[in-house]
Amino acid sequence: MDKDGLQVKIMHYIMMKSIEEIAKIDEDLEEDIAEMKDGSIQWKIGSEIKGYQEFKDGKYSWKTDSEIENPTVTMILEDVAFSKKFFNSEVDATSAYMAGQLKIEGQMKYSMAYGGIADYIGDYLEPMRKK
Amino acid sequence: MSEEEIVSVKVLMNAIGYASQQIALVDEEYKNKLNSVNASTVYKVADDYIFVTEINDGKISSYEGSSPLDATVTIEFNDYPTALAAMTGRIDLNAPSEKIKITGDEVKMAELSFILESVKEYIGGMA
Repeated sequence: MDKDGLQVKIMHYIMMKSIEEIAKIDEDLEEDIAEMKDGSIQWKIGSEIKGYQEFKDGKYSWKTDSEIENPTVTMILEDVAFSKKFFNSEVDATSAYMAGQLKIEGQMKYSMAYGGIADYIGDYLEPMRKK
Repeated sequence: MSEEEIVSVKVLMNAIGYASQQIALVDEEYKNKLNSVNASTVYKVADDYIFVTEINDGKISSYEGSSPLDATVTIEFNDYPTALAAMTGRIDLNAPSEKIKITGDEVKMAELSFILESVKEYIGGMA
């Protein structure tokens, strides 16, 4: 894996970890997670990066370097360079999807519900990005 | 101190821990340096949060919770904003500061600096 790939892998980790940490502190997110139907999101980024997020019995869990059986949704980002922009919030999921850079397989409605969960990340990680 | 700063620090520390392990998988020079040092670094934030990084026999691991009794280096941040500024490189961890207290083996700490420096190359664009 090259440096760009590793950087994206770490950014992907940050995304998945962030939801876990925010939910500990933000009651609204905790509620939104509790209301998510049971399901999972498998991520496939480039040729080597994978991981999944699972919502089950009102709880959130996630794992890097792993694949889950029968994911509800699979999010595919083939281009690593584009993935960097995506995980750095330089481009949103809708734009990425419309441009054909983010492919979504499975239940589109579930991916949209997940989008509401992911929306929390930007504000909470702003202090980390502030120069 | 905001909730956003608390989350950012915890996510960043864990990301640094994860990145430290991942870099070893692809960077031979970094891996060789890990092989040459056994040490533990404890990060304490505002008497509220503890994050530990341990290197043993070339393997690096990290966890939250309580600090080991025999920590090689302990870095204590008065508050979350200071921890965030230090971990993102906005302030120099080694510069004298009333808000950062470093205790332990100074020689080992210098040997361990390569970890944060390497990680910053990968996280630099994000933080």
